[in-house]
Amino acid sequence: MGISRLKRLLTEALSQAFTVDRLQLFGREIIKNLDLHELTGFPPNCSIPRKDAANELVEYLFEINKTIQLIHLIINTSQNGFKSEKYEFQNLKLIINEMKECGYEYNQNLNKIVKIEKNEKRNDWGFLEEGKVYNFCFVSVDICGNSKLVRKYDGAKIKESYKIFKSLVVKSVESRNGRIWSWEGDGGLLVFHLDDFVDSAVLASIDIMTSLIVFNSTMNLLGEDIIIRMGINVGGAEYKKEVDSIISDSIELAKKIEKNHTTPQTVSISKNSYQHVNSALRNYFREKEINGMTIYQLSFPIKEEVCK
Amino acid sequence: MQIEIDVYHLANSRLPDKLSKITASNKSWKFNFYDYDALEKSDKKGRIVILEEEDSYISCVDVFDAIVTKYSIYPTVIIFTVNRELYNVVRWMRRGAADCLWMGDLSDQLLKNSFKSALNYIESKMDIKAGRDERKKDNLYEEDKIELPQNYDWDSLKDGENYEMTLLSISAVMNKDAVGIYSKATVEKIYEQIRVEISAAAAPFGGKIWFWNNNGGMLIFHFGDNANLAALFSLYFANRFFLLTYEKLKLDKPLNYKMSIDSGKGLYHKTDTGHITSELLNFTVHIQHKLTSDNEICITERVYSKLSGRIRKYFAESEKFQDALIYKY
Repeated sequence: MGISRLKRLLTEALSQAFTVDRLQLFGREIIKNLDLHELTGFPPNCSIPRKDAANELVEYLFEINKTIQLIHLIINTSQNGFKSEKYEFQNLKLIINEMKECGYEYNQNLNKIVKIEKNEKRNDWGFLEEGKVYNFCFVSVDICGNSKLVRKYDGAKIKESYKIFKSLVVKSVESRNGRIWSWEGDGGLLVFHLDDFVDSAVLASIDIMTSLIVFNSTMNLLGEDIIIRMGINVGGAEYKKEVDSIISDSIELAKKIEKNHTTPQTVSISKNSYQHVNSALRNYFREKEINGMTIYQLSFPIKEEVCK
Repeated sequence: MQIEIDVYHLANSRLPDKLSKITASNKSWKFNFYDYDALEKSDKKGRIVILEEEDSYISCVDVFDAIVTKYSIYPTVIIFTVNRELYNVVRWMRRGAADCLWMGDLSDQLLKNSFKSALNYIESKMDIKAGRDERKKDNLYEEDKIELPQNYDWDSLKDGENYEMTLLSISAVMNKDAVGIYSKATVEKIYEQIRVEISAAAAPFGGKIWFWNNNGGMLIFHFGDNANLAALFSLYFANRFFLLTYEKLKLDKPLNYKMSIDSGKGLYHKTDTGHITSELLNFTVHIQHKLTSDNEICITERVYSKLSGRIRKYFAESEKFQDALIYKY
């Protein structure tokens, strides 16, 4: 069961599908200078039994943490062939099942093997690697006048209202494959990375703003409406497992736009990010010059003239 | 700044003496004393009211109501009680008292400390310096919370009966730029998807599509606070409309909407909607056809007058239609 069974299944799959020469070529997709003779210890003038070659390759890839890459390559080869030839891996389903036992799954939409998310959504979407730079769309969200509200209202009511508010943020964000990297009671940092991630960030922000109308009318326990601001910016950041320790100019700009360039009940997006937004969505935003920065804004509730 | 406190006490009460003693050295409070028999003589100037309870909530709640209604702005009320029952306190707080103080046989010093602590508590709840109506505003807001209906059963309504209801007429309108872009079959499919989305979106607000024809239909709300629920649904849906057209329907050219809402008694029939004639139904449809522009919501005065303060602010007075005032979003 587990790793040893997975290794056995992979060895079977490779030895059944490839000759030793093809296996070497196949392996070089992962390790450029792979030499199966060197790896197995067979002299160059001796032929290597298929099973031994496959077994050594699987063991070696496991040692250097490339097993996931191997499985991904096998899945792609089964779909698209390898070097213009079709290959069939008869035990592919078993490999995928065994991989699940080991905590990974194949995501067809992403064409990636990702870590299985159990109860909580993973900040790395199951596949981001520590220390690598990726493109993200960051959304900074904040409740306006939080300190005043905290001074004015009973702590329990604040806590409960903010908790409900967060739950609606989580729903809007996670339904669009976004993640909440940090949350500090009255707001936090929302992050989007998959698919059309800038559009997803904009749509989630609009969803949160419109849900707020219902929240304030039906669930808010305070004596006044909760009002929020949101700032959106796209950019790169080096991923770290401890997402709180990620330092990025792009994150800072999203926060700055939200704090210094956004009026209450408004979503602002940086000029650079605006270019990545789908044109149908762009029509709803208005260009504004606020504190010396050009940004694009959509205020809520949406007024009739905006829709035209 | 001196805070004026109106004290309503029982006849022959020792409360005025006690309060005068504990505040002798403190000039920031000014007490105006009135006994129960002199309610009418009160100037009602105090921002804070102290009410000495007779012996329980039951025996004194009428006096409480009589006092608070006399003030043009709802005062902050502290109840002084000798009743030790917890539920007695709970009932006062539910009624709108800001705090309850047990005075029993407390020494002057303990009473002074309790009183000070009550004032500190109240000050943290209301901005006395900023304005005396702060507390009232908060109370009103809290009372204005709209409850989403939890359990409702449309089958409990009988055909041919008149019921209190709120009707919402809604139409999806193709943008001028979009006319001609989509085939007839595509347009029909879009409208059908909109119908499905509206039906799903209205359910949490207790609404259902009563009847639908091509690009629009009539929603009915009957359960719970139906006028507020219909108006809240309209605001919610209006703000999400382009999310729907962009994200779900994948349309490049957005659609527009028109909504109108009226409330009152109307004839109900589950299925035979084609033959229903009611003034309410006609009026709702007329408002939409004659007064409502693209991306507008029109509501009648009957609806507006029932609206919670939490959503009333979204609607502004617009014009008269057949002698009825219309408000628009």
